[in-house]
Amino acid sequence: MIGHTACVGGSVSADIVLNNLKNIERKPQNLVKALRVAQEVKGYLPAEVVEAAAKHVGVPYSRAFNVATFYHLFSIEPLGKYRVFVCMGTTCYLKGNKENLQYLKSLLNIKEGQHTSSDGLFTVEEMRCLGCCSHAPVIAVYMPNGARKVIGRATPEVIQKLIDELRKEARERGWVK
Amino acid sequence: MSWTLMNRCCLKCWHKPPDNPCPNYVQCRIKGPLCHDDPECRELRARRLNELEFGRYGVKVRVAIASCTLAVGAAEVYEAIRDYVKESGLAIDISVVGCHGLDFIDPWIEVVRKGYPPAIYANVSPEEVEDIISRYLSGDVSKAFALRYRTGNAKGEFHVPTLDELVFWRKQVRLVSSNCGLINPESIEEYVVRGGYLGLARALRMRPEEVIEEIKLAKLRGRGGAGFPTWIKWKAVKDQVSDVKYVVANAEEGDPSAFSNRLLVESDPHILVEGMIIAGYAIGASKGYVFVGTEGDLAAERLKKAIEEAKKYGLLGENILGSGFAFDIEIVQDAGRYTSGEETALLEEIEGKRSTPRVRPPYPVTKGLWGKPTVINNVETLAHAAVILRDGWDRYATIGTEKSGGTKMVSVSGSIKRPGVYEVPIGTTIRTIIEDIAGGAPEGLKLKAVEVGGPAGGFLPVSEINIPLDYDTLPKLGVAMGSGVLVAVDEHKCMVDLARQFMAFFVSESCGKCVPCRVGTKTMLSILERISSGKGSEEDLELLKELGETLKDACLCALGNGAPIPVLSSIRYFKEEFSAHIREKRCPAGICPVSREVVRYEG
Repeated sequence: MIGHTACVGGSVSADIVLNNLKNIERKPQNLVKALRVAQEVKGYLPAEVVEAAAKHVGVPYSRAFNVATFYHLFSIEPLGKYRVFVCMGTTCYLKGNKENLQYLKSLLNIKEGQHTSSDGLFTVEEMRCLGCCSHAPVIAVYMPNGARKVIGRATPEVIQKLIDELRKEARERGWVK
Repeated sequence: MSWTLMNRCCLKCWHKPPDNPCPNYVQCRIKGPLCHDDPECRELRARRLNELEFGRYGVKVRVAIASCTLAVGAAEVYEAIRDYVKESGLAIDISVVGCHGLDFIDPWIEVVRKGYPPAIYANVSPEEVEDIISRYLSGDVSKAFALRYRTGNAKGEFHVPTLDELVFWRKQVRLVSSNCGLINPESIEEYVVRGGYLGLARALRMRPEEVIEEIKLAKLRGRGGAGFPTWIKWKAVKDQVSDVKYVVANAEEGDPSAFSNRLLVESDPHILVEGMIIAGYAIGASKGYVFVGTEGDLAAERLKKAIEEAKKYGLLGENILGSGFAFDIEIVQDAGRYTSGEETALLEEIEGKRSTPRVRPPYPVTKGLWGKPTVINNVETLAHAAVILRDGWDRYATIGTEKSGGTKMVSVSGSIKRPGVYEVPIGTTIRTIIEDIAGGAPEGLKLKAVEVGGPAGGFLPVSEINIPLDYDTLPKLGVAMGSGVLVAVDEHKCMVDLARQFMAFFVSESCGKCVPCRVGTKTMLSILERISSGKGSEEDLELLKELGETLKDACLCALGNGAPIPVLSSIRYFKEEFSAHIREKRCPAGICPVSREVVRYEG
């Protein structure tokens, strides 16, 4: 487990993740499915959680780690409460998401090479194609409750409004001051 | 829930799946009752059909709910309609439908009332809902965007075009997308009323080899990209001796700017289910997997419902329609990786591993999922199979080209007036799609290039788009049909920048399994970065071409093979832009960092 983050922060313990895995049939082919559930419940995949998923479906930790570090949906590092994806697919790139990404990162004060804001609320990632290219540029927010909000025709104004709303929600829930 | 057409009409009907299913169950839904004659049963059906068309109270509002419409506020529009109906006490049914692909009118709704023209309203905001519905109910359709048909008794009717009068509708041939935007994707009943599962019912009365022959005569070729004749694939798996075989539907639309599969599965999931069962019957498989992309939450949800309903009514599961054939479908969702859409990589992911491509041979038709013979088809291909079995190959084969029958759904986006998904006969020229159907560039802009077929497709200059979209012509011009993507690029964009952006995409998405792709894409990216920053040389272009050719030949999968195509096609058709960066240290579009520096020095 060298180099793999141990469980930090977060209100969800590995037990709760295990509880959610119960509905998944114990067979190796369900590894990706188990990690998806774990990622959703825990918010990221610390070593204990990957190990729990591996045990559950009956594969070695090494293989689970191999899979957990391959797919974009998975993160072995803690992420912000809100995961903001900026689509960099052809159409979104052409229609201004390069500028939107820069704007969003400066708005949240996220430096080059970093992804998460210092208050731990937002993680900004690039992704490719949400399939709403007609309304490019598109950004998507994965909310803490697992819901996904897709926003078409994004502009700096739209992004500013979105972030303000999410910050307000976070304050109301007591995640930040 | 009250009686639906999917239920038995009375006790005289002996249909009882799975023990005693009626082979005529599907036909009986629309033409029945077939096993007995009873005026009351006929009346019951007629009443229900009327209800499906116009709602329980004679008025119905269809709200398009799909990923595309949701991105621009369809959920809010739906809520506004629901609130308005509740508060006003009006007797109106609200029905969720998928999307018909005219994305430039999102969010849209359609109001239908018996005896009046069904009217489609475009770019609806929640505030407008009340006005739209009350005006429509007063018999005024003048504010509509289009009508499905005219009845001659509504105000303003002749100032509003019907869909068939609009060029972007008229020039389409909607075979697989005919239900999209019209039926509730979560209602098996609405699918069956529109001829759904008739293809399956017909297939089950044929022998498997006859089904394959039908697909062969229809000249169906794979819609996923390569255009491989579908019947050869099916026959290869049918001829394999194995106790277990699989059908895999590839709904992982990995290509950026491709969204036709997403639209199809979200709007009409049953057509995919039907196509898969037909494929399973033809090749002798009893299990199918649908592989859905990360972005496909809604598609997966609607498919799940479709599978449950098909099972409930004996169209999936044991002894389908009394044929003795059994089939089951499972959904697997991708965890996000471009390679996951590659057919063998996708098998790896279904098996719970990293989605990296396998070395071929052996091909999936002999050793696929868990080493068993497997047919992997794109979802659109399977939907076409359902249409062919329903309508017969002879009708289908008259559409399209001599070598390739039928239609293709294309996703059009970028600098374009009418972005959306359009279904056109194979062989329709790209110019027809871009200019007539999608309306060309928006006011004030001029098109320069069209990206054809997704990232591995390539760019064509606007001067070259007078060519038919088919599997044979495009490769001659250095591009490919791919997933049917068309992205319009206007004059203010830089081809060097786009080529670099594409390569950056391949670098981040290369799975790393084979060296030519892993190292080749990185090397090509660094050369492109050099050029775009004004430090490139003429030799760099030669090097890019040489590397590109190597990748085309040596990579393990089609994604690596396709990675250099955007770059190679850009160099081929837009060499002067590369030269400007290299020789004049200038980016004509003013996008690449080279030109920004020049601007700074001038200032």
